[in-house]
Amino acid sequence: MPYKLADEVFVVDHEDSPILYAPFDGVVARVTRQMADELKAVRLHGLTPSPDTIATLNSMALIVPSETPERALRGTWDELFTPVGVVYMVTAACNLRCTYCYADAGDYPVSLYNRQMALDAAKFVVDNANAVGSDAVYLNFHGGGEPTLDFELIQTVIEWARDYASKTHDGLVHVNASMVTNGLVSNSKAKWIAANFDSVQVSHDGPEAVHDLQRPTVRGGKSYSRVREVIKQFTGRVPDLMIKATISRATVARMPEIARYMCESFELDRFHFGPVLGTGRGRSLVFGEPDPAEFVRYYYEAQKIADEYGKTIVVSGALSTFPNVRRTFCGVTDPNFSLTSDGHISSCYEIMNDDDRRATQAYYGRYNRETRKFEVDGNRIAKLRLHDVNAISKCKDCFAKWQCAGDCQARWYNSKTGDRETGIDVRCEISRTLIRDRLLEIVSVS
Amino acid sequence: MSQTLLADMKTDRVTFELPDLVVGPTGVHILHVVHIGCPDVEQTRMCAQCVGECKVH
Repeated sequence: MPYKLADEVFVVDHEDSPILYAPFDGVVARVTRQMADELKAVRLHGLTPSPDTIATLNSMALIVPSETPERALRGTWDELFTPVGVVYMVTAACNLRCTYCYADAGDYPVSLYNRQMALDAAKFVVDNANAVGSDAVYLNFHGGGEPTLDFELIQTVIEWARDYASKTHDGLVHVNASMVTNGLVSNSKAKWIAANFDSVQVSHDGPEAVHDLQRPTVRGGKSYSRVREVIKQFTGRVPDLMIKATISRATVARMPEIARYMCESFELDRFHFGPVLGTGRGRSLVFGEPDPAEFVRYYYEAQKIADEYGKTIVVSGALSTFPNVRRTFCGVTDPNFSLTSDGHISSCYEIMNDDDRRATQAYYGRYNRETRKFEVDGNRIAKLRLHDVNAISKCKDCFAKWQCAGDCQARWYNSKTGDRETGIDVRCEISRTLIRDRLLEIVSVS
Repeated sequence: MSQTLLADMKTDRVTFELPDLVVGPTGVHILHVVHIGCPDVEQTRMCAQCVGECKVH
């Protein structure tokens, strides 16, 4: 009977401690250099492993009959479109001019969000929730600019959706509201947000000198004091409150200092540290993407400090998934039901401008003002659903693929030229290093 | 780990087939093995800007 190596077995080659990792079998093993080199040769030259190596793999139950079904996670071709969440890409306007903004906020023309469309989208997802048996819908208010600059839209949509949900479908659908904001809002807005939102992420980069360096106002003023005050107002009131510190090349070495500041300033258990995304103003030489090795090094130092306070520094990416698995990183493959101000439906809520060259890949429908319906291309939806980690050729043989799932696909193409980006893959480097280190830790401390 | 570019293919995966299962001494190449259990399939979506808190579904 023919046999094969189990699906999805990887050699993580690291100095004197090569590791064999089989994520679907839950096996992590430190193996000899000889075996790692032999398996590398097997991969490169199609050789048959030695009996000793086969025995070693067999002892871990990683040699299986050839007819054993595939283990990889696969999506299905599905054109049905019944989203229970909507992302309102409220405005391209912003009251800050962050040095690394991925969305070039403030640099694009601003158009007022279509009110009727916003309410029709809320009705659409509430009705969908009832149809598919979901007890909740998700209204998310996002950038590229600062969503609270059109606060009247936010209030109108949330209040209308909650009223509609309470009066229809036996009032069984909960309307969950979430937002990403820069926190530069008035007291009255902060009070309303605290009373009405389930989840808020506030961007706040750390101590005054760090925050004001990277997040100046549109006129070059300071935003630190106000943002800090608003976070205090949200604390204990917004059920899911997260602070995100964006880490640039200029501030990466200050991550430990930022961690201490966060832990001492805010009564939250976790803080999100994320590297600058190298699109838009994130291509800045000074405030652009940090060196990935430095990010990882200082992340560990930051976490050590957070440990002193019993708190956690989280990063967006593979590590927060490990040891679980996923085939898709973000909602781009669901696809997201993200609505631009003028009615385009985008799978990615970082792609919201018509002159963004990536829009041809991300847009899959639009709002019809005459019929007040959302018209989508089912064929495009089905294709987006299959564009998961299985479809990303460079990830095919990566040991971190089932946690990273290809990460953010928006960063692969230049928003202005549409050209494939060619630089250092910072987020990939960070994810691979963090997962590799976790594997090393498992086999060293167990 | 050397720095990879956006287009770089990773090369960690190993596959092979055997006509028969012929084994030698057991486990001579294992220095330490840990069974961490079979994984759950994660449903939460995150993005480059968040860690899944926005709960976009």
